[in-house]
Amino acid sequence: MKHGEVLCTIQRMSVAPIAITGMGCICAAGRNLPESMEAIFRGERHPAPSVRFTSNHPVRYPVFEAADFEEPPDLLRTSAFALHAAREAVADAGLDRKTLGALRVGVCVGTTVGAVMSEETFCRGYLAGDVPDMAPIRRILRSNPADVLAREFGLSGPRQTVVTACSSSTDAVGIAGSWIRAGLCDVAIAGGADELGRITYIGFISLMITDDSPCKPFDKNRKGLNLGEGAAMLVLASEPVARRTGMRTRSFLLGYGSAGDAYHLTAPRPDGAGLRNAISEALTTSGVSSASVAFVNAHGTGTPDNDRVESRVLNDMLPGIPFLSTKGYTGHTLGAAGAIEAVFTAACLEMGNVPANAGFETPDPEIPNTPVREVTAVSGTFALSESLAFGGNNSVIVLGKA
Amino acid sequence: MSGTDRIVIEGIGVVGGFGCGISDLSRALNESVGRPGTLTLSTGSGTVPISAFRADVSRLEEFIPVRALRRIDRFSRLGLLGSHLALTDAGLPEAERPRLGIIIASGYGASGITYAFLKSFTHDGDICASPTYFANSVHNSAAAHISIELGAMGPSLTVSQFHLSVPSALATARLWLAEGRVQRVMFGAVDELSELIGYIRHRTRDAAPAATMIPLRTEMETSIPAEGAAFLLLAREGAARGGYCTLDASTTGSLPIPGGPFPEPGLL
Repeated sequence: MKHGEVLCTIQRMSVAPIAITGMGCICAAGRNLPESMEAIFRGERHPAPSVRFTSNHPVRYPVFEAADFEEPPDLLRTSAFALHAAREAVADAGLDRKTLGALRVGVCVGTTVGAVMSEETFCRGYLAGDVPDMAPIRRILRSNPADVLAREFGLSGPRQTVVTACSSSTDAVGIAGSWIRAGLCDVAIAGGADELGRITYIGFISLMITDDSPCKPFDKNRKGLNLGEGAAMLVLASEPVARRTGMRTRSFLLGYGSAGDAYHLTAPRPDGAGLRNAISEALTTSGVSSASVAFVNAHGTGTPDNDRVESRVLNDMLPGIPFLSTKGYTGHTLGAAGAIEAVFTAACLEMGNVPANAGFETPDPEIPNTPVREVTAVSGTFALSESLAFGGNNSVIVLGKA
Repeated sequence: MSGTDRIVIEGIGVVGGFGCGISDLSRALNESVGRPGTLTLSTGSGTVPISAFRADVSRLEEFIPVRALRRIDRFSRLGLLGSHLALTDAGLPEAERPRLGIIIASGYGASGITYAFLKSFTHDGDICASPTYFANSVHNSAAAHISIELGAMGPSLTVSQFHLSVPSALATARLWLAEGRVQRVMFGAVDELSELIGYIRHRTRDAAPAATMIPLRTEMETSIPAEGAAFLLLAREGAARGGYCTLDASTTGSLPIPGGPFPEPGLL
């Protein structure tokens, strides 16, 4: 395969739409989805140095923390976020425990931190030759996000914790849709969750891709990302099951595509071939033409590389289609980002409006298009939500208005 | 899935305490011989050697130049070696590699490099954190290195949920093939026995590992910690170029205990 050649081996038909019957979210923008949408459309954002941890790094980078949220001592904050968002989504779907128990319900959750076997206090103690308390390790072992949700809701269907870095929860939503189409479950709770902690914070600073001011996706003067935290969950069901159980369909998951860059561990492939393949597969499986897309919720981290590659691919494949990044309101929530942006996308389709791309002021001559600059009405029926990730993962879902 | 959608195992790549490659594994199984090595742990009461099955990844140099391996950690090396062995075993033409999907299952991920990253800033301050260690500490680092090395641009997935990782990830591999997303999936299970994981295992057990494992002996624990990688090159039956056998099912589920207490972890 030549460099830059788009992989066109996937000869797939469009697939059955999956009903999205419930959504939940927690992030820096709000403690639930309605609160988050209101804040975003008001243009509010409050990145600030962490109030939960400290660092001896000379620069205090702003982050987006979920305010006023305390996790229980026996759970990772990540899994507590996942539970919080899942409870909102399940309630939004109108499902009670009895109904959940009578259905085959799967759970698919994307995360990064929620599956990592390291805890700083424990590791520092070990490194110092102490005998560190095992409580943090036991907390990790009992906090695998998909397991926690399955246990909480008594779910008997398939469960999976996806760890494809920043595309984790877009992949989780896409995979859960496939489970339902394949008849592996009737309903799925799918999404993502990630907490922000010192290790992640210091790691991203070390990569020199964090902005010491509020992030500016797609702006000429962008310097990098701001980290965030949170979770979002979607309740997915086949249309017949949604009808049978009396669930209201809020929107549809129509298609999913993912593809690798095969290029670099942390940088996107300059020609965007992986992202092109992912968009192509997502559109093909959804049966949606590029011209009929109302808007794109882009990955838009605010790093120079990501935004340059992503905007060029969008300009080539979806020319003239409005696009924006919502990370200016939430920060980059890593494994939760895809799910948070999926519920924002679905909510925007319902509302017929998209918010401004926060932080964008100055067009970049290297970027061929400009994101949405103010609250804008959208009249179409379909929208894309994109995630790009370390490891060269690119994942895209297509959502449709109910 | 229908009969035409059967999944064939075209190639196998394995590395672990038994050796490297399917012939070493066959020999170990046929001879019923397991010879654990040693992992030395630093503990609060001095160093403790424990029995452990360690993998030798030196054969990776047959496939990748040493220079290119410098920045690749042990977790990803296990994955790279397993995947190359499976490709070689299957005899897959190089032209087919860009179309591969990749799925990795790991219980604990890149724990060694994650701990190394933490050490990089513990003594000398947060500003000294290693970007190379951090970049390699993501759970999908092995999948990423395999994708880059093979030029594989199909979909890529990494699953991590302790002991359930393999059946859960295998179920998705079957799904991708059944959906026609890809013709082939490089499926791999990878876990490293890092110092950190070894220490945690040591702390969760009352006694040091036995010198010999005696599976199914319930009155006493004889498990020995181990590491390794097992890769299967999976293909749809219609596309397969021969192979070992078919993989006809992989399912996961839960015994529902609504609102039940969190069970005390008995893992590792």
